[in-house]
Amino acid sequence: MIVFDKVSKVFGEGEEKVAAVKEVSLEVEKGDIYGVIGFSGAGKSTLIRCVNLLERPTTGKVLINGEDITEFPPAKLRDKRKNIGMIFQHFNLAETKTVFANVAIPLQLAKVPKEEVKTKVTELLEFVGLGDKADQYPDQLSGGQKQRVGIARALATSPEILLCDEATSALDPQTTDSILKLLKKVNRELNITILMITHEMHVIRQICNKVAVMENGELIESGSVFDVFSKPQARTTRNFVNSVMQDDIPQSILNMLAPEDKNSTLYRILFEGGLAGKPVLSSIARKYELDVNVLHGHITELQDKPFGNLIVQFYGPEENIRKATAEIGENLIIKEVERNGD
Amino acid sequence: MEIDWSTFWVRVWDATLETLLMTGFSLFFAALLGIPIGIALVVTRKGGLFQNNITFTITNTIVNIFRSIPFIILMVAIIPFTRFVVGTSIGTAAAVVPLVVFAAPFIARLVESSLLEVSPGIIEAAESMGATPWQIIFRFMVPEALSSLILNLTIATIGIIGASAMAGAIGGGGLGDLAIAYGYQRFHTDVMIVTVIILVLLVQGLQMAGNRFSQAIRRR
Repeated sequence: MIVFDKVSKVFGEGEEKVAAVKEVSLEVEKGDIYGVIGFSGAGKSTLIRCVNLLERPTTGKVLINGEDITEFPPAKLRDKRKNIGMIFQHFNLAETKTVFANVAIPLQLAKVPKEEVKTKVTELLEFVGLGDKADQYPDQLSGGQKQRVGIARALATSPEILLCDEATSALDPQTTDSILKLLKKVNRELNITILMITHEMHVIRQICNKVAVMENGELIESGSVFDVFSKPQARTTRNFVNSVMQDDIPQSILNMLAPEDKNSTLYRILFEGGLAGKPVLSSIARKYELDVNVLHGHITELQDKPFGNLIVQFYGPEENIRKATAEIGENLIIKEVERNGD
Repeated sequence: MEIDWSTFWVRVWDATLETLLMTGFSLFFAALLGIPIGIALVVTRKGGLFQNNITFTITNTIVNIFRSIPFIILMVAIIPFTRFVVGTSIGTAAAVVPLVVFAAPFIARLVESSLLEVSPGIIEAAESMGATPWQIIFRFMVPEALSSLILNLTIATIGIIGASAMAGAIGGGGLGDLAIAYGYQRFHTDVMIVTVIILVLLVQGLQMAGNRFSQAIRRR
């Protein structure tokens, strides 16, 4: 659907040259909700703007349905843009126009007959849950409502792709949730492929099926959300995953350990998918006659599957612990916990 | 010689009409020239929709040059041009020409500043919808800036009224002419006071109307 082929973007010239995006290759498939995460300045904003050429890549290609849009003449590109909706962090609504008029703009630009515009806009406002706000002005709406108008406007031309530029970053957590639910509905019911950028990992966790991590203009990691969350490779990715999985052991729990256990090995066990429902831990512990102390844990849902991790401590003979962890490792991911110097 | 107010009011009334006429025509033509120039200044600048360094630099410089010439000097300096356009260099019609030359660059600057206030985000959204550059200008930038444009055009109108008073110096007619000919040169303080009061009322009225109109557009 969307393919970035070694896309680079350089701003400025000479000494002030800054490479915002460096040779990024990425494929978004039809039906995906693809999230790109990174700190501010990582280049993700520039990257998403390369999809509709609000920013033109310095080198590399951007293919949409197999066509390299960087070679499109202006008129063809404008046509293509009608097939790619976009929503923004600060909504970018026309302040002097009503909600209705805002959603109608793309249709008017496309010279859709007036009656049709009315039907379509009314339908869209119903879809985003703003049926009763048609005659209000943006400054009478809350942030979440404004973003709903933005979504309705982006969907007006029935695009195949929706680009979300930090669409929830200016919203409070509850509103973020409701907007994410709406985006999921857009993806499922209207079958629209979504590419979103964000700096919030919980946004990725909540609705994305794939994720890419950017740092300093480079793509450092990408894959299914499940894989990246369960086996993050790069340090930045691990930090992002930690930010929502809370799998750092709280100091208070470490303090509770008996003095003789302070240096004993702690294990992190990752549960994923169906196994999260089975009593793996207790049955293995019984088999090797070990006592298990669960120190900390967190189970959540990723892409509608349970996912989580437990921090445990085993009591028993060294040999048995070794065997037990090996057996657990056959089905689950088990790692020794690094305790940073304390 | 005393002024006979029973007949002099007619002179005052005529002068007021002349001022309004001069201002109206000047505003119309100055806006006709100034608005496109202002738009050009916005769209040809770096990062604009029709970025063009040469056009921008030339336009910008010309606007600055005309903006820096004092009106009274401009008025005299372009007399040959005025004569070429209206056939004479004296009278109300002749005063309109220098007023337009004076006000057009002023309006261009005001339009430029109004349009620059439009958030780049809205322009980006327009681009993402596949709007053409012309659609972006006339369907997004101008409507979003309209309220501020009206306030700025009010400022320009008041500027023109002020400048038109100086047109009295070349026999342009209007309230300024009256104030200079009677109030200043013949020491009729009462005429001076009356013209000033009328000018104050005019400016007050215009500013109020401009504010109202601008407010009305900002909110529905």
